[in-house]
Amino acid sequence: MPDSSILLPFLIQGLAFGAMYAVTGTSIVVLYRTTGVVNLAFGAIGSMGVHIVWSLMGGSIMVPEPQVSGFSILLYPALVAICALMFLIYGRVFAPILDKRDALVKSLGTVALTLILMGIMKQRWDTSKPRSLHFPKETFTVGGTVVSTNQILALVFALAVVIGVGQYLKHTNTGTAMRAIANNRETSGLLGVPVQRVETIAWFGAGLLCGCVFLLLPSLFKSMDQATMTWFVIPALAGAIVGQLRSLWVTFGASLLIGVVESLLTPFSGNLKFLSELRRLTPVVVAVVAILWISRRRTVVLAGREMT
Amino acid sequence: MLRKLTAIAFVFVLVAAACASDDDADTADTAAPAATEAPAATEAPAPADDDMADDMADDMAMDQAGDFCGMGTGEPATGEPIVIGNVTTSVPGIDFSSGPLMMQAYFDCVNDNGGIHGRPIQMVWENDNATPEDAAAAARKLIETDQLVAIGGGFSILDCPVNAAYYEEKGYNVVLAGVPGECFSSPNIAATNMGPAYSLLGAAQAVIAKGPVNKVVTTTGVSPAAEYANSLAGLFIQQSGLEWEDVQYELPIQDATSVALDLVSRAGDGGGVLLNYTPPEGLKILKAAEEQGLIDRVIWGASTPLNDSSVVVALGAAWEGKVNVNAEFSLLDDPRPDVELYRQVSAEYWPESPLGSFQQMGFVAGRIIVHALLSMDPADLDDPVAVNAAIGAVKNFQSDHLCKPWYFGGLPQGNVPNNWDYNVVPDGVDRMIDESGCFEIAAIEPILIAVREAEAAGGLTSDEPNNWKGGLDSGG
Repeated sequence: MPDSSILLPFLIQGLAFGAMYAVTGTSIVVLYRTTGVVNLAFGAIGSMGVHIVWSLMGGSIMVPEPQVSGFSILLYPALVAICALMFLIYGRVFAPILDKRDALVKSLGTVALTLILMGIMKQRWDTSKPRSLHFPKETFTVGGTVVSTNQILALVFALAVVIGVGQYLKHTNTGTAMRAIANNRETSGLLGVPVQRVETIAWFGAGLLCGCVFLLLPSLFKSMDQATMTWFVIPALAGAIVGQLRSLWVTFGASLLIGVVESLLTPFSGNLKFLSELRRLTPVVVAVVAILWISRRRTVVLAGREMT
Repeated sequence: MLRKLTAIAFVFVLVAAACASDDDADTADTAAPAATEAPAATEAPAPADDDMADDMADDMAMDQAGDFCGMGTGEPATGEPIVIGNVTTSVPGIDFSSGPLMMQAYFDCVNDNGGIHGRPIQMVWENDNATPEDAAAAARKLIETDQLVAIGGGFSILDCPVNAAYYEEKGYNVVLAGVPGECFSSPNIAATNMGPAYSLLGAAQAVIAKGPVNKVVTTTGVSPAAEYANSLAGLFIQQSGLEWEDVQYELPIQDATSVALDLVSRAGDGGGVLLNYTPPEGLKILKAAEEQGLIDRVIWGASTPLNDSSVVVALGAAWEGKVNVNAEFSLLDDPRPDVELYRQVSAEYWPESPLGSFQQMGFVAGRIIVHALLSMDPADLDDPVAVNAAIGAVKNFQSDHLCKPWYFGGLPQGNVPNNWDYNVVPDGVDRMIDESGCFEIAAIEPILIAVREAEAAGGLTSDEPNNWKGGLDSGG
């Protein structure tokens, strides 16, 4: 059992990662409720955006972490724009093809996009060499622990997103339309809700969140590892599942929990070393436990028949 | 809702399972790029002196430690290519492709300079995708389907354990960059490098020479070769009277900050931490340690892969002199001719590649294979038996990249022909500095003890290292 005095830096790092899971989870939930698509390409699109911007910043094998100044600083918002654009293209061009299919098929469509983007990245950017996207930061010490402004920013941003998106859904016409579509897409359409326009806004908004997450993520990962960034969506999806793809606040809480537990398990050693070795299973364990809990009093439907 | 949630959970589990094995994210890319297409033609490094080239044309050692490629004629090779195949690992977190690709770059230079007695030489590589079945299939494809005359220049975590017996059965003498222990315990395999286990042992020697207190932690990524990779360093640490702990993390490392904190916490203030990772993974940990203010809490060491120009540039001033990297090859800016040739070939035939140890491994493998082929009767170049006999006959191969001449030993217990190293540290800007000159890797296990005895018996390599400065204790 590690000494409690050494856990503070792990807690802070876990909160930062949990916050990024939370923003990703929020994006997944809102998009799913509006379009019926669980977007598993979130990480791949973000990773692609990061690699494009890294190259535009002058990144190369010999400049693995390019620094920018002057007008080049606009490449940071460009990353957000690129991600939003990619979301928009998929949402407007490809997602409608699967519009009438069930949620599983719609989600597998985004898996296909993920694999395509991974193939392009692997081909274009050599994975055997290090590269990173620097996001400006400062560090300071709290209780003997080094904290970076990026870690703080991640947490504050996640909180702002959950509050902001919640208020947006409640108090704006588009938000109301999104909630209406989430309840019943066909009826909403019959009642005059502009379904396609609302879906477009949902894709675009989710893309903006993706871009913001991937501004910070390379800095937290200390690299631009393609696989790590692409599959970052998995632990985030676990948080969204705990929130039953409905509740933003439960998603937020579960995401923080996953991030913190994952991080706090790292320093276990001796007889408890297995906890450290199994920490990457945290999202799966949390999601499975949540599903079992949620379904404890529900009827199971198998092959169209209710099992009691 | 529950049905939808279950469907989504199903997708989640599918994807989670796909991610869990780290390497399969890349399985869509199973077809390894067969680097058979030459890069854009550039002017080949010409022989420094035409007369010298003429003089050496009949010399069997003409491609040793020289400053030109192969025969150095300046004439492009034509005709039926001689194809060399290999099995290499290229998955996220374990990507060794830069080794064989550098060998291909050297072959391209050879092809612009007369090839192998006028014929071009090519390389094809198969990705083992870090799975034993792919590794086995790849070797059989290369030997039985493609009927290649030689296997060489591979860089895999699975090729040796899966295929060593097969290569022996087929009579192939394989020159490669070795990772797992089987690459150094098979009579018919000889590596240009010494692999992560001996390299980390060298790093442990350098770190312990600097006086860590109480405990040294070794770490590498979870892989089939992981236990072996850190075992020799652990043995040496314990023999030095220090506590040893080995930690393995899933690759690719996601949370480098937690990993850096964990390693330093386990080692304790004044302890030692030894990294055994590829450049992208090792760099993550070092950058996280820098951000967390952990650089001076322990003595840092690393195996050969971090001797890479892109890593040094990324580390920056904070790491000046602070991480002891075991270098199995000469410094990347070594002025001697053979290293200069490597830089020249890299710049002209693979300009997008940085300079690094992995690339040196491939380059030296290419040099050895070309040397063996040039020593043959041209009429025998398509005969696998003759080609592999020529490779097996390579002894006392001079190269400025290595501390001592390389040889294909064929020793029954195994082969570690590269067993003297350097300790290098970053200069804080863009290059590594040699701190030790060549030093001897400690012979603490049966294979290296047997290798040293065979070397002492003569006929394999010269007695003295070529860059002796007094070893680790001399302070360079």
